[in-house]
Amino acid sequence: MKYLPPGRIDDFARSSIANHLEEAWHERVKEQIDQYRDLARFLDPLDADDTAAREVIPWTGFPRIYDAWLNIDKNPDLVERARRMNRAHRSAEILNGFTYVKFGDRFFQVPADPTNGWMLIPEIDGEPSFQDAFSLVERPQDEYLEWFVVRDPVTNRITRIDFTAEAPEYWETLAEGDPDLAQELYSELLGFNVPKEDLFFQHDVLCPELVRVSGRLQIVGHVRLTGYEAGQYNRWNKWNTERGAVHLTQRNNTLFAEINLAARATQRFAIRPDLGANVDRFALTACGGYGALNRNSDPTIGQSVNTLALSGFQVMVSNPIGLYIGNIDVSGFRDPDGNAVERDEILTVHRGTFEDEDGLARVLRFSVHPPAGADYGLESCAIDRHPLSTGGPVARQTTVVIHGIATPASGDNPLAECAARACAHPTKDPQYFLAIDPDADCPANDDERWMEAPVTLAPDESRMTAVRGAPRTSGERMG
Amino acid sequence: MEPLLDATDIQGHVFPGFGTSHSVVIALQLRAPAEGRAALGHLLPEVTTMADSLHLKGSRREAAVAGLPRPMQQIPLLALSIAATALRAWGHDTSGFDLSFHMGMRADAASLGDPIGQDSIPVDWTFETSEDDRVDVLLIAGHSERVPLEQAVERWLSMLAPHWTPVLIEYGRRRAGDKEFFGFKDGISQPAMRGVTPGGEFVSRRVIAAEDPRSELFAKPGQLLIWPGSFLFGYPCQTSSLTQPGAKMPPPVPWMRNGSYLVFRRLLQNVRVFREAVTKMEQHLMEQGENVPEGWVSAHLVGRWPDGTPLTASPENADPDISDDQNRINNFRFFASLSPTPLAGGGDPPETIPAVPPDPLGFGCPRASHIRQVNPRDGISEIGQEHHSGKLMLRRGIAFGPEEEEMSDADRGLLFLSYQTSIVEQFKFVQVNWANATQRPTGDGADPIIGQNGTLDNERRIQLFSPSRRQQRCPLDGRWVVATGGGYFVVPSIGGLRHLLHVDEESPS
Ligand code: HEM
Repeated sequence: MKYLPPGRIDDFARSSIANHLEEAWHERVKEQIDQYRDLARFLDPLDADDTAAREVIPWTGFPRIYDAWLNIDKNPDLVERARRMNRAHRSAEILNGFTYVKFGDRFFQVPADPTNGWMLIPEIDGEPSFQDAFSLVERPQDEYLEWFVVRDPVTNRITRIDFTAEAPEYWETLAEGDPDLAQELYSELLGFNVPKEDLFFQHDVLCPELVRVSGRLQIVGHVRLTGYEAGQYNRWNKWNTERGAVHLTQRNNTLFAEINLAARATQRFAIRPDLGANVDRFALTACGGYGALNRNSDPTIGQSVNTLALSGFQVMVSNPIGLYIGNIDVSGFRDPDGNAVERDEILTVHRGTFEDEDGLARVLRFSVHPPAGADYGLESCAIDRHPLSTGGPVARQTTVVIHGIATPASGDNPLAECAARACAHPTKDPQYFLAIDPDADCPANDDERWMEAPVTLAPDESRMTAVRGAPRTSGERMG
Repeated sequence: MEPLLDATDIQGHVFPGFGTSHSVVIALQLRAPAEGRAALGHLLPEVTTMADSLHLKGSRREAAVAGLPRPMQQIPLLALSIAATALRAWGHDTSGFDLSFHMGMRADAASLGDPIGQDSIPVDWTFETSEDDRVDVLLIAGHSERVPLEQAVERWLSMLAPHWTPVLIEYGRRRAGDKEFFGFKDGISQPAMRGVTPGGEFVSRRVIAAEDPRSELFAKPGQLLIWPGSFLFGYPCQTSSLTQPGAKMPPPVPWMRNGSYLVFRRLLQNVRVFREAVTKMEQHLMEQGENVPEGWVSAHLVGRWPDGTPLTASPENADPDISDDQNRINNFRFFASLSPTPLAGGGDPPETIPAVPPDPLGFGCPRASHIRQVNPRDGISEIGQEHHSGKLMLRRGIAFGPEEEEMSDADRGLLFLSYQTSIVEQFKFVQVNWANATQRPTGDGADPIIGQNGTLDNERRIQLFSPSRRQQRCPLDGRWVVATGGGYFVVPSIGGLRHLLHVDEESPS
């Protein structure tokens, strides 16, 4: 038995080196799985048979962190709430520019900043080429569901919004094994010809190395970034970021993060020594030290897996391991005239299926679009009154799932100490959390750690003043 | 501090409900806007307030405690609610109201999973299908006796004629043991509304000893306290931190303060089809080598035994010690256990009700069961446990139709009625996102009682742990709950109705 590609997708069969690709993927997953075998309640999904119990673990695809930071539940007024949700939707589509720096013996992912030289540098002909400094971009959508809004270049109408839950690791394996196939698939999925060389780093890449000099970080040189050598697949290539969405890009949206999280959540943590303890999913996540606190996904996965483990099971995610779209509800869709439209006319599943051979939902990619022949774009449609000028309203109606699998366990599950505890922001609703040292006090209400927005926000529309023509008497002029 | 509720203004059917032995739901169509409005105004003095209803409930309780029969009522109780179509006929703009209310239930029917015909009309609906059988107003009335209720209905209809014509008159009654037609005790689990009366009493009686921290979360054990903004406009709303009040729920228009939204669905229950499906599922399990006790399957589809005993508290069998005890019948949750709960009342040591174990995986109460899908309590869902309390509604369901022995192929079922301040976020969310969905709040399938997918065969599959604790996936196809129509309504307060119906406050009626 082998670890299968997510959703049993049959891309590899199109390659002349199909067997090689299958084997490479299997080995890659196995290498991850092998790291966790020592955990008492860890289950290798290949060891599970038909009698294993299954649990679908679902969460909502729109990033919870925007809702929390923007306080969307704070004010029940419908208009105000819609305005905040709209701002959340627009914010979630602002790409993050990032780079890496080396500090001490570790690499850090940090926001790119040309003014202080925090950029990546291609090494051309053995020399750093500073004038070609660049940064990478990722989508900030961190619930293992990402999307891209496709506009018609002429009319600027939104012709499609593509959603994906595909793992970058899978595409890396595929692209590095068979670059031609990667190019072919990219071109098919995006609907235009994608140049092959764009998918790969053309040069080795260097990043700044920092040291702290009298309290300030200074660049002392540039070092090679492993994994970013010439010829390696660039998961943040522009066709998967600025120009389209083929697979997940957000730094935490990886399959191996899912495996890591699920595996670590099988432990018995001091905060929840037994099944009966009433611990919320955020407190558990903080204690377990897995995943990000302010997401829907990680705390839900952790809570589900942990509950299975404490109920006397060995637990893991079933084969094919993947992140899947389990459910999409577009019943609230209305065309520009306010009419409902049949689901099949506006929703197309491109990869994976709602009814896999074992009956489970394993959709990897879908798009929402106007019905064929419609003379309008999605921007003039709505879901539940939220305009489809962004993908957010669909993401809210999309349930992302993983498939847990469990077999009866025996023996001890040793108690693990808490890594941190969750402190809730004094006023945010939904709650916003910081992870704090388990023995430390929660930050005071006016602590500056509460002030800094954890995400980039789009402007609040109520702060934008409409003016006729260009402002003349006030406002700054550029250039 | 819990908010003071305006008990003489709020309608009594919203809270605490009528609790009468006999009930009737009357759907009316407006024929002449101005005259109809004036005629409806004449019913206003008869509309029951929360204060009236609380009083009646109190006297019933006293009688029960004293071992006396339920007291006979002098006058019928009445609730009045109004559809968006009537508001528009009277010149109101409804676009700022709840989206579902504004559009009407017919526009929502496809989303709710009702099968839709060629003409985009729900195929099973028998009213509210077109302008001809449109429903503009809903009257709900209750009485301890049937005859006086019928007399009141006759009187009201003649007061309203000819400006209002009835589209539907459906009588209902409390069945023995409060059972709905599939044979299960209903109306057990209700959110407990927070708030106090002018007399300073909690509108939801608190029974947990004050020293126990759960007394701040629950009224009766297991019955979650909910801020009134979930059901009434103008009061603090529920937030994910359960004990803290949220901002005041703003009314869509000023006259909706102290008001609510009502959802009405006339749900047919096809008892024969339900029984056949249960038998089929039993057979399916037996073919898998399972030993299936009588009644096991249907109880696991509901999540309670017929007498109301929760499966979580008593997985093997019904237990009258639990079902006869108001403090135990709803005392359970799914994710974490409940330690013994001390009760208020001054005993030393205090009277204590037993602990209840957790059941996160659904060994006892399947994750796919009706009660678990429509209220996952502290369990796992796609929106996160901290949001579940915001989905609760006040249910006022009424059984209708003759007993099977009286007339086997007559219509019978449930007049589903619920009050909430957001149809979209409460009733509709629960029906669409949870009951109808196969992957939410659990991936174990759609709700086996009310889940539907818009098709006539309604193919479903549910997954549960069998009596031998093996996980089994069972086909469960067919429709035993069929909506035949319904509507969304505003339920203004007495003051709101006065304003809306142009009833002069000064003139004696
Ligand atoms: C004919 C259709 C229905 C039948 C036979 C039915 C039956 C039942 C029964 C037997 C119970 C358990 C008693 C209790 O806890 O009160 C219950 C509870 C409940 N039902 Fe239904 N029901 C029906 C329709 C609906 C609908 C349409 C909804 C909402 C969309 C709904 C929502 C609820 C809720 C929220 C509870 C309480 C769950 C809890 O808090 O534990 N039911 N139902």
